[in-house]
Formats: sequence, C-alpha cells, structure tokens
Amino acid sequence: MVSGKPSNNKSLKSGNNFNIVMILLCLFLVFLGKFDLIAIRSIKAFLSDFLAPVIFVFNKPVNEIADVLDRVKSVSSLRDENIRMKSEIRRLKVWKSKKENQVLEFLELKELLKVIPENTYDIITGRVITAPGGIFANTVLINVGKKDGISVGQTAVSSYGLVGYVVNVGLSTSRILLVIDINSMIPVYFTGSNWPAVVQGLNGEFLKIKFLSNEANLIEGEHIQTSGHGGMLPSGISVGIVVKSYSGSYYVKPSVNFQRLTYVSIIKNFNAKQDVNKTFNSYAPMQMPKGSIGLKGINSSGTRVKGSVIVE
Amino acid sequence: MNTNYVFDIFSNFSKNLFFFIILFICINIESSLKALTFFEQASPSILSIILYICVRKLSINISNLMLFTLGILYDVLFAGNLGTSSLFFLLIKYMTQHINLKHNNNNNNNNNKDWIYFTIIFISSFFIKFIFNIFLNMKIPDFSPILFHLGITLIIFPFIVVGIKIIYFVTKLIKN
Repeated sequence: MVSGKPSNNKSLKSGNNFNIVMILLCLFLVFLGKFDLIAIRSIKAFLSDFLAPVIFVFNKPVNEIADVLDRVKSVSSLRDENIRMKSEIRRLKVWKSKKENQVLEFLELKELLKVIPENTYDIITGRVITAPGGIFANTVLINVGKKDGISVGQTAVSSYGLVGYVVNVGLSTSRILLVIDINSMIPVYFTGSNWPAVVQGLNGEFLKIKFLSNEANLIEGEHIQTSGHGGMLPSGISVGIVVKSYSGSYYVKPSVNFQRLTYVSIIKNFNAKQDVNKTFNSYAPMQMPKGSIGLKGINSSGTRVKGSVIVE
Repeated sequence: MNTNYVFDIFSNFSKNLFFFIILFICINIESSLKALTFFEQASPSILSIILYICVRKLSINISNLMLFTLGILYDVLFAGNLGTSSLFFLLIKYMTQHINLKHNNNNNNNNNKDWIYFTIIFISSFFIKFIFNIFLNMKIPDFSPILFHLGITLIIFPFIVVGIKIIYFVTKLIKN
C-alpha cells in the first residue's frame, strides 16, 4: 500500500471504493461506540493497558522539560514568593490558634448530637501516565487497575480536591473522566449559602453551574463541595470556587490544576447505600421556622429542653 | 518470479511498518506535548500535518487500513469517540489527494499555496469531526481550546515543512 512512487490518477480511482468502505466502517464504529457495549469497553481497556508503557516512555522527556521550565520560572519569582509565604505563615498562625478552640467545640457538639462518624475511606494512589486528553475529551490514564481493586464509578481525588471518576478499567490501568470534561456532571453545594446545584464541564478551564435556584445569590470566591446527592460520589470533597466572568455570569474554577496532576487517589470503598441502611437513633439539629419566637428552654418542635438534654 | 513476489511482499510490509511506527510516534508526541504549559489548552495536530506532507509533498500513498488503525489508537489514547479520528484522517488523505490532482493540472510545484491548501483541508475535515462530536455528545464544547488547536496547527505547519525540507536536504547531501 505504501509506495515511494508519486500517486497517480489510476491508483486513486482504484482506491476510491476502498476509501468509501473505510469511511462507512468508521461511521459504523462511531455509532457502535455510542452504545457503550461491554466488548468495546474491554477492547479500549486492553489497548490502554497495552499502550500505557509506550505512552509513559514518550511522556517522560516532555514532563521533565516541563518540570525544568517550571523550576526556572519559580526561581525568577523566588523573592516575591518568599515574602508572600512569610505573610501567609503569620496569617496561618493566627488562624491556627483560633481554629484549635473551634475544633474542640466542634468535637464536643458532634459527640453531643451522636453524629454517625464518617467512613474512613480505603484509598489507593496511582501515577498519572498521560496529560489530560484532547479537545473533545478530558481524561487521564493512571497506572492502577482491576488488579488493585479499581472499578468503574469510583471517585478520584487529589490533595486539592475532586479530580473526577473512573470510567474505564483495564487490568493495570484505569481511565478517569475529569470534572472539566463535557460529559461530567457533579452534584455540588455552595458552602456559604448551602444551595445545591450541578456543575458541568465545558472541555475548558471552567465549569458551568446548572440547576441552581433563582433565589440563590452567588458570591465570588465561594467554595463548592460535592453534595453526595445521587450516591455516586462522597460528600464534602472540594470541587472549586465561584468566579465571575466579564459578561457577569458565574462559573466554577476547579481547585485541582489538571495540567500538573502527578498522582491521583481512588476512593475504593465508598458506598452510599451502606450509610442509608444503618440504624440511626440520633437527630440532626432542627431548623428554626421563619418568624417563630424562640422561647428559652423550648425547642422549635415545642419540646421542653433543660440545658442540652431533652426532657420528654 | 516467485522470489520477486516474496521480496515485494516483504518490502511493502517493511515500508508499511516503518510508516506506521513514524505516525504512531507522531501521535505520542502530540499526546505528550499537552504536558507543556504552552499547549495546556490543546496540542497541535502533528499527525494531520505529517499526513498532508506525506501525501502531497512526498507523494507517499499511505494505506487506508493503516490510517483506520492509527485513528482507533488515537481515539483510545485521547479517549475520544471511537471512529471519529479514523474518519478525520481518512478525510484528510482523501481531500489532499483530490486537491493534489487539481493543483497538478493548474501549475506545478507552487509551494506557496501549500499552506492555504492545508488550511482548507484541515479546517473542513476538522469541521466534520467537530459536528460528529457535537452529535454524539449532544453538547457544545468550549470554543477556546478548539480555536487554539486549529490556530496552533496552522502556525506550526510551515515550521514542520521547513524541518522536513532541511532533513531531506541533509540526507541528499550525505547521499551525494
């Protein structure tokens, strides 16, 4: 098929039919891929497993160059960075002393309310093999797979927050769909106002906010965390912060820098259904009804309380 | 006669394998470029440039089956919709060959028009791929990475052409 000779009219005409057959085959494959068949997923996983070492070899020198460039850039701004860090340390020291008291208070209240302790997650960490995908898909390949207990749907996090979730698993590699991908939709809540919403990737830098109540007033810089609605992802994982665009609409800037992802942790044992089935013999603090007068010693349901203990 | 036939098969196979490896390396380079801060948004489509140069400048008729396989590997590597990249590469080849024919009829070796031809071929093939992706995802993606991808590919094209010309020139010198 490959020849060093110049292509001529005759060869083109004879190849035309074959070209059309191949294009039709591509179209068939496109629609077949859309059905998300297990066989196709397995083939993809196998190919990812097979290609992983090659990708790693090719990515290694470029990653090293990128690291060197980053180091050079950081050296030039070292002095400014040092001044900034010193002021940050002072600020954090003040914050730490305040926080220590609050933590004690929080633990006491938690004990008092008999809050079910959150599950300690079983986490496995893998190295990212590829840089985030192309222009139509944003995914990364990591070097842990089925043999390490990874399965489709598990949550991927980094030290900064939510990375995405597992969409395809091979024997020794897994593919993670990043939150910035157009097919990713994450149920979240705004930490400042508690409004729930859904954030959707745009295949770009920011996430779009969807299904947000009209009553919600967004604040620039407000933190967003996973709400855990739907039971697919654990709650309380940082997703990003609210940013305002020049046009005045609000977007979410992810807390994770996907370009600099080196290691990703997979939460293996999260199962929302398990929590629901647990016997629950405590209560969550009730919200005060609007316009009600709070009487000392009587809670909003009308039960007399003595100190912090309910008298029935 | 028989020896020649066997020799032809081996010769074709080795050429196919060589081009397959070269193009596969191009895919990997394209994938690894994403690690650089400059290509954070999108990396240039090196494979389409190489394909265009192979078909048009070097007059190499790359096998459709090879392009199909490379497209599948590309989709697996970039986690795209299976088949869309194969379609894209086949379209690039098909369009390059047809424009090549018209071009040869008008005037020979007009190198200045190469960039414009590549622009037309690349953008039209990409547009078809883009439409397919919108149709498959049922969502319109952010345009900035797409425009960056188009722009950076068109900017990088003349540099790759010059690079290949230099390599060609050096090889010719060594041969002489």
